[in-house]
Amino acid sequence: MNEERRRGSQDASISDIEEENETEDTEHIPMNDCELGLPPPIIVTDNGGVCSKLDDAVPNNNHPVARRRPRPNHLHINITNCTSSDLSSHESLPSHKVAAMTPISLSPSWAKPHRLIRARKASLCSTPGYVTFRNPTNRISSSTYAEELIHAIENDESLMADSPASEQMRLQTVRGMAEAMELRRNVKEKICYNIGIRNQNSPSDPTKWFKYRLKKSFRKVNCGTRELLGHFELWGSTIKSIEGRFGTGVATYFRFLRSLFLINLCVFIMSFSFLVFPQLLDRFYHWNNTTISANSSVLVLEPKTYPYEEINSTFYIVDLVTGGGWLADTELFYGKYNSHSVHINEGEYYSIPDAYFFTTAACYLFTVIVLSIKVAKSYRKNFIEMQGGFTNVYAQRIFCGWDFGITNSEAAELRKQTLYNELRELLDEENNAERSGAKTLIQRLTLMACRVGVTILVGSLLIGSGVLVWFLLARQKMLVNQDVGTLEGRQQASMVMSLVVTGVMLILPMIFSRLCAIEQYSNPRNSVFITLLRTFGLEVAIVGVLLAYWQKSSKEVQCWETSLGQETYRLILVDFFIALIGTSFAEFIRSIVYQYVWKGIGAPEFDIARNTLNLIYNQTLFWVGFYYSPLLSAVIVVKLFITFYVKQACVLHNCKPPSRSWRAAQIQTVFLALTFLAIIGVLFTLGYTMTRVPASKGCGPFREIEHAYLIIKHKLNSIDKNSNWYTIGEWIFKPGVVAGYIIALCVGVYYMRAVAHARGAMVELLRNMLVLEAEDKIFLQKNIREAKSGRWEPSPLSRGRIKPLPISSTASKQQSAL
Amino acid sequence: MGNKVVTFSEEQIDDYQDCTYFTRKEILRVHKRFRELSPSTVPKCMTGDEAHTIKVPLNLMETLPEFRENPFRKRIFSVFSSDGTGNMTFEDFLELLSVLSEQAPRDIKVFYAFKIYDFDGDEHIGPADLQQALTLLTSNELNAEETSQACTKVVEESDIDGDGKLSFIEFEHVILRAPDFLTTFHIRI
Repeated sequence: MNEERRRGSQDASISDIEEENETEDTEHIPMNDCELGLPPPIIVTDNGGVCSKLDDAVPNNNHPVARRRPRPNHLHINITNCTSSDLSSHESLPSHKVAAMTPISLSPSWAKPHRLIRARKASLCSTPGYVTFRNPTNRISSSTYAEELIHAIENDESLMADSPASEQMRLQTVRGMAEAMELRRNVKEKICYNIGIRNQNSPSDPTKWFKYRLKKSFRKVNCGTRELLGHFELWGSTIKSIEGRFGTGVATYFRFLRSLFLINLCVFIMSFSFLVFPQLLDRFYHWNNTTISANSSVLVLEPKTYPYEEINSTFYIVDLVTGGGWLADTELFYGKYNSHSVHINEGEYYSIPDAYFFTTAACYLFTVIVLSIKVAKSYRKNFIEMQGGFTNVYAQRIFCGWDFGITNSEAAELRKQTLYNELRELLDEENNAERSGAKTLIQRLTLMACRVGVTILVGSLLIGSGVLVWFLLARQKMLVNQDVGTLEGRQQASMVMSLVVTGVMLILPMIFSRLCAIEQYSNPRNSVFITLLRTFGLEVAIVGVLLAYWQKSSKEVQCWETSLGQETYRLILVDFFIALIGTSFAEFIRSIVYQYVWKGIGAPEFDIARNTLNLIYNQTLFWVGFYYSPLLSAVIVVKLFITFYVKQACVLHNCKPPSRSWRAAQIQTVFLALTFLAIIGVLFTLGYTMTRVPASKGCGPFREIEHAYLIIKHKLNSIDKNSNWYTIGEWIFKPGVVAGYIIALCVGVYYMRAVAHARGAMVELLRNMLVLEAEDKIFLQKNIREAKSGRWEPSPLSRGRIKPLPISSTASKQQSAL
Repeated sequence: MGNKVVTFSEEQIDDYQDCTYFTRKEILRVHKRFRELSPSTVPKCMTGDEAHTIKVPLNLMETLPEFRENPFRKRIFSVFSSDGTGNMTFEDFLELLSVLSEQAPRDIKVFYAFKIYDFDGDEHIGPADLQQALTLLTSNELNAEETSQACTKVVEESDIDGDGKLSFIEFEHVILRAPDFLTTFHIRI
């Protein structure tokens, strides 16, 4: 029974069995219980066979477990060149023991590998396979060792092939070798030389050679561009210095800000060049038919004398903030855009409605693609590969607790203090849990009731804020539309809503985090997570109400898109002044007070969750408003730029490093996922708007069309029905073909899920096997100890499989020899 | 381009690019930082043997800002130095930064992390190693009883085969479940 299990399990057992014979020795020989660990040093015998001292201990031929099936994908080295002088230089084994070892000549297939070369073949997703070496420290001369490595690499066919894939694998091998640089360079040079020789001899296919060179140069270009881009990395050194002082958590906030800034910058460039610029041209220039001579007239581009003649109202500074009045009729908002085509050149027209639709669609699509790639990568890195789980809290704190990026002594002190506190907390929790036992039923019930109560309270707060926003919007519409009161009154009325909403967004999250403290979650991460979700819910509620209101009242207002655009513009601006400038100022005041006046107030800390949620809120507002106000991208780009510098100054001068260690990686994925969710939600709403809500008749590029999506229809209808494109397009979008795509996608998803499940089950199985191996080892150790001391009695299960005599005779022979 | 001093030969740069996870620009930056530690001994031109013969002593290496505050700095330098004393040649330094850089795969980082935490070099992380790591991490704040309790807890959590210490595979298993290993075991230069 044991043997079958061992046959199917890893090679570890051989070494275990062999090691057992040494347990009674007085010298401590490091037990290597798994071949994948750092292997024991090598002993060389005179007749050229090389083996580990542990193998020598057992005459392998009779040993049942020695007859082992070879493991696939393992290369074993036959090392033949070592000299026996290395024997005596071996420190941990005295020479007399060495002399007593009987040599075993190893056949490559089943013997225990000394240096394990783990060759991972390229998987389906084309991560290049590589080979890792683990060396015993400097037991053999390096040239010999280099020879072994070269020999091992050359034995592997897939590494020596003349193709870009295997070149990649070779590169990974060389990089992944955990050896001294000199050794690696030697190995690499020799291998390249050998490959050169091989390729000279074999007739090379010219097309393959050409493709190979092409791929190589392509990769060089790729490398070069990546270097160049790295040169232009925005704010790289600033973020690094922040990371050094405050740790990785705060730095991830700044990196998130930077990536949002870059995405918005691209959107701005796209929207400006394709949409705003032609419209501006139309405003400032027009074509005039000037007569040059008697017969000919030519079209000349002339600037208009009164570019702003269509705008009715005068300009007030306040308009910059409210977005109303003069600003409402500019290119900032949807209303201004022409519904006709702009005359570019003789006979060439640039259709503004088409441009509007397709540019905004392209910008949204670009953002979605970039964000989804980021989310997928982050999820893969932080969740899938990490396999979740928080069971190794102590080990993780010790091994992953220190942030190697810290460069500041104050931050280092704080980090040490944090680690100390966390470990103390864990230990205290351990001790308390042992002492007090689990909570009683009553305590659990009260806690549950408390949590339910708080959730209901939070829900009602969300609903309340939604109702408040609706009410304010209705009041504002009534006030602004009816020309009641003075101009200032109208301007003030339009600001009230933004101010109230921003205030709500500032105050409620603080209330949420206080409430969370009442709920007493055992894991502090859970409380952060719950607060995060609630704040995000608040955002969704507010933005949703805003959208819903304007969609509903689309018929009552003359140009509802512009109004919605104005709302978002105001919200973003007010958030800039209050949330950004205001809170920075408050933190500044607090740090001054802390430094000079009163220590009890506590230095301000950078609240990563709140700030990141603020970023997500801004970004959501931008996405909501972008369709109705293309130049909003410029506003948001400028705002993010200023935000970076303000926050950086604030952090560096006011705040102290965070006292709780912030598990950045997984929360970062959550933030990215929330951002992605936000844009998907916005896109859905936008889709509904474009298809169901009628566009305003009096303004905007879609005034002549009923619904915005009809642009696509018109475009499609205008395609020549006889052209090739039309037939191809018609064929691609046939219902049957589309159903085919969907079915293929579903099959693909099902397949991947099945594979993932199977792999997970395999991992579980192997883990259990590992545990069983360990139990085996303990059992056998016990047996061997008993056998050596003469007390061993064969158990009925092992009779006929393990002959007691050879083992004990070997053991006694060894003991007599030692 | 004038009297520019060539730091490395093309062949050297190619080799280094192939053997580490760095680009050309990063390799030159590493050389600059290395030279700043000891301008008198480290030459500007390293086209000969200097890259693996000239050593900067451990006390100078420890003055690097990225390592000054690191409690494991002595151990890191002794693991990566070719003679085990902590005196680093340029190639050792390059290797160190390459392993600790962002592009290095998890496997090699885990391997070297194991070597670093294995203070006594017996290819297992035993209770003595853990105690030493804890004292370095918390600068002696935890008392003896707490330290030993934490160490036993670590062994309890992670030791699968019951030998009372962590082998490489068990260590790797623990690290695989830690989502922050890659972000913390990372030095940017």
